[in-house]
Amino acid sequence: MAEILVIASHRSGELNPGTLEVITAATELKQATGNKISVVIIADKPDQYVKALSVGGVDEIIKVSVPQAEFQPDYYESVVLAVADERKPQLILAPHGVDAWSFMPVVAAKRRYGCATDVFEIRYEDGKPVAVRAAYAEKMHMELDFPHKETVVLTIRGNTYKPSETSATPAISEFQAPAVEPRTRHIGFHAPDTSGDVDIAQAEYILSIGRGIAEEDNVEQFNELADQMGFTLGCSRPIADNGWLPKSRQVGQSGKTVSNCKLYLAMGISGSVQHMAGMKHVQTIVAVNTDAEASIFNIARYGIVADLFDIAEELKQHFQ
Amino acid sequence: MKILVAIKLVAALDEDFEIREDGCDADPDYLDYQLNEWDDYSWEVALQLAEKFPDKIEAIPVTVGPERAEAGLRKCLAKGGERGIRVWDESLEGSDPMVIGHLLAAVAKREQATMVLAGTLASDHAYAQTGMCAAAELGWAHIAVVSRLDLDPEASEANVRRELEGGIEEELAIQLPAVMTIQLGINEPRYASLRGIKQAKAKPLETLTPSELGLSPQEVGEAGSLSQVRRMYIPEKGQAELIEGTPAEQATRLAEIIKELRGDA
Amino acid sequence: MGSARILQDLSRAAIRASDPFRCAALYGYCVGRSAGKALEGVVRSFPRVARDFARAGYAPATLLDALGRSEDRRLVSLVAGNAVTPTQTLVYLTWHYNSAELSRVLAKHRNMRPELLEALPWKSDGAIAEAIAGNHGASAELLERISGAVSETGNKLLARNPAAPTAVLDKLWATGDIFVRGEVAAHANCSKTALEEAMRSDVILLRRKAASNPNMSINGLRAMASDAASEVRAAVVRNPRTSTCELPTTPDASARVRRCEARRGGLGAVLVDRLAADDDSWVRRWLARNPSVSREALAHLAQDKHEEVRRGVARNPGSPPELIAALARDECAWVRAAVAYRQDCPPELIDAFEQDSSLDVLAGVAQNPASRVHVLTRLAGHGDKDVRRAVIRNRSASAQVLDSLCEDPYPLNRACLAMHPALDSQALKRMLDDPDAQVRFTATQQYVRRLTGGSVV
Repeated sequence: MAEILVIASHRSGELNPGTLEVITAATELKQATGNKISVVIIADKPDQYVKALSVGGVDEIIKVSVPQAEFQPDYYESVVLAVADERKPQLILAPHGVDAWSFMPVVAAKRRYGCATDVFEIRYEDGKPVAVRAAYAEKMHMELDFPHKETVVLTIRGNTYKPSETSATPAISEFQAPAVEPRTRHIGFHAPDTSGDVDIAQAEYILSIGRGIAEEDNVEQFNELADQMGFTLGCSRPIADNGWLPKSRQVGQSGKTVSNCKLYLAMGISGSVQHMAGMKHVQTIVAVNTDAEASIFNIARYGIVADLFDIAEELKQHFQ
Repeated sequence: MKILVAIKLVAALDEDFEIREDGCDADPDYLDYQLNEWDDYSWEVALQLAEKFPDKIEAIPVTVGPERAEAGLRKCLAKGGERGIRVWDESLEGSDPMVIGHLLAAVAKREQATMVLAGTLASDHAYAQTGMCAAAELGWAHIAVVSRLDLDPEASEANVRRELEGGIEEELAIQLPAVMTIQLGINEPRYASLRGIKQAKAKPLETLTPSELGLSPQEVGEAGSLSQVRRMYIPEKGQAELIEGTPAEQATRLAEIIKELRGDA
Repeated sequence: MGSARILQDLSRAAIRASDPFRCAALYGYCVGRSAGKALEGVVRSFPRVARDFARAGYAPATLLDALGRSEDRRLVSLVAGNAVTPTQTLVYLTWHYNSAELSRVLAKHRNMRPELLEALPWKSDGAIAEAIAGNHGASAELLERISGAVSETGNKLLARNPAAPTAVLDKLWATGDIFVRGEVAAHANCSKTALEEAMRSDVILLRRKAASNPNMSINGLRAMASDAASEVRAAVVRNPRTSTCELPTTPDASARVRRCEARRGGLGAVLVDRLAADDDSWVRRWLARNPSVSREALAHLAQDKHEEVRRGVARNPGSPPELIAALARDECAWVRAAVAYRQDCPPELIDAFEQDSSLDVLAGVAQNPASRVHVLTRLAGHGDKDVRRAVIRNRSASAQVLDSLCEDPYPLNRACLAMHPALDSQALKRMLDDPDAQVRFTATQQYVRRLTGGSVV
């Protein structure tokens, strides 16, 4: 029976919930291909993760002890390669994320396995895996295949699959980690700097205003709205240039890139190239603009063609 | 020591665009080529180090691509550095990050570089693999998503931070030689001066082919790649969902969306 | 050399260099000459650039007109959707093309004249009728005629169209859902009957909308001033027809209402005192920005513990010099910045700001027409590009200060510089060959404008 390896991800003793999503992805493939699912947990004390990983779909948990608690690429690569050499899996999966970026492509490159990152759909066609991922800032989707590859390495985009929740009793095994000399050394973690002014780059919910505001006197009501909604107020360059909001609130190429934003509500922003560059990592963009042809609607998930003052006034009614 | 910085001239899509006839990429008519945004940051890292240690560190931009890719090298050289390297021949058409990483590794060996920097990803295909594939090929220490880099050219390791979830950073020491991919925001990239732009036109660019770098035909193009693009298409959800109705109605729906996304009751 | 000759040389150079940006900037000044066709040809030979111009707010009207007359359907459609496309081009598009898709785009355009909207085939295409329903340039008569031809979505657009006549609104009131009725109740043309029904409705939205109606009777407003719902009371306070003398002397239980009070002009002294002591910082923030508030009250608010209240005072045009001088030394940079941006800021205060550590303060100084030459000269050499751009945006900046910024590495700064009327013409001329496309476009446009006094040669 062919095998799917899932490489568990964890940080500071907490399992990365993306791991359970990847298990779901693997389980769907298992139903299609009959593959066995083995989860590889690499940690200084792998036992602490076994319970959390004993979920529906998992056939085996492979515990691998390494000398370091936190992620280290040399340990991860050598372990995954050694397990893969022995098990010859069809797929090696891990949650797409900072750690995966540091080791999954290396695993693939060293054995010339097939490889695709940030995948949100996997299917089998004629017995061969096809991976679907996005390109051009999500404007296009691409299908990749892996000609002549017996093993394919994939990192799976978060929030695509529901985390596996049912409990199960998989077989537990241990695997001896190969001896390697790690070439990076963990020194410590640093929390984000939250001192000083509002950090628009780290804000999760942003209400951003642009040229459509027209006058300084109109800024305050959006300050008030943002406050009522629990959003951080940001702006495009013309607003900061006029001195209507601090420069630290400006989003865009010459301002800040918002990197942690879940919802970006753009009001009266037509969408200059520079501004849109600053919001490319936003999960959900809602645009409000009177001009139905404004560029901002091209990157928005939701669009509202209306006067921003009317919408602001009405939105206020819902957040007291 | 030499720091090699991998850069890429990326394709940016026009607001509306069409798919190429073979269905595997966008129609070039709708593409605009520009330097990958991440590369501005990694080149700035290298330049700052070269300026800090003028006699000890040389920064060299490297790109893999056809002649138009020289624009990317010139853009870097307008800010600093003395020379650039471009690798290309037609056999590289259809190459994936593995092949590019392999070529970068070959250039790094040829230049006896101590460090290779690349952007965390490129904004067109967003594979986030190239730098790490080069590391695999070189067998060097490596780490992705670096948000801070301190280096003493005399030391055997560098002190770096990498950006984790939610803005947390991990500080770590990494042995040299090393490959790192650089995250946006690690510094504030400079703008080239008008004089620099003029001078860059005269700076030497070396052009190399894969065979000059020792890669066989089996190691380039589709044969050397780990994946192959079968098809590209415009996703159904690509367009904004228009919320219609009166402002009161639109705001009601918007408030629902906000509350749902935030998990409010 | 005559200006016509210079223009000719510029055009030749732009065409020879195959530079679509210089060509676009020159286009408007060369219409009707053979050069015009050649310039347009260069722009069109870069499809992506041509499309960008077709949808850009900064595109010259003459170029939009030329692109609108091209055979490229995509370009034509982008021109039709561009908010700055002039009416004469829309006239051409309306009469020349027979495409439902294009008509739908045109039907939304704010520069469409009533008779053009009329000419669109709205009878056979619901989407066109709907777009007209939302077009504020449509005549009452046309809206009345299409009112029978639109769907629910169209009704919603009609109900909020300022030109919608009473008869249409009455129909919408009778048949529409609560949101349609809400718009009708707020509409200036809403009939008395509908307004009174809205006022007595059980639905808060309808009462709130009625309370915001500019024609609401004084008695109606008085009645609604004691409405159980705070949003209705707030709307009453916001309605300019509610006299400030009518505002209640006892504080409303809802901060929402008190915030609206603080925004009203012409507040009495007692009310101001009460609002200035309000626990809700937003009430005080609004009051601090209120231009009708007395100096005494502003002096009190200038001591507020909340920095945004102090900033409001610093931005208030009615704040006297001594308050401004005190706020110039505020510990919060954003309050000092508010002072730095004031054009009535005395030069000695501005001089003192020069050493400030905050970029917001420095940008305010750099942009302030009252700043002295030596201050601007020094800020023109500042390491931060936003501060330098603020100098460039200063309309009192001298040619000499501006000249020192001609080689600013940040392209946007050079583009802004090209627009400055005080920039020396020789300096502007040097920018025509700038490596940045946006700078070349702007510099060419400005150079030609100066050359021709803005008129087509």
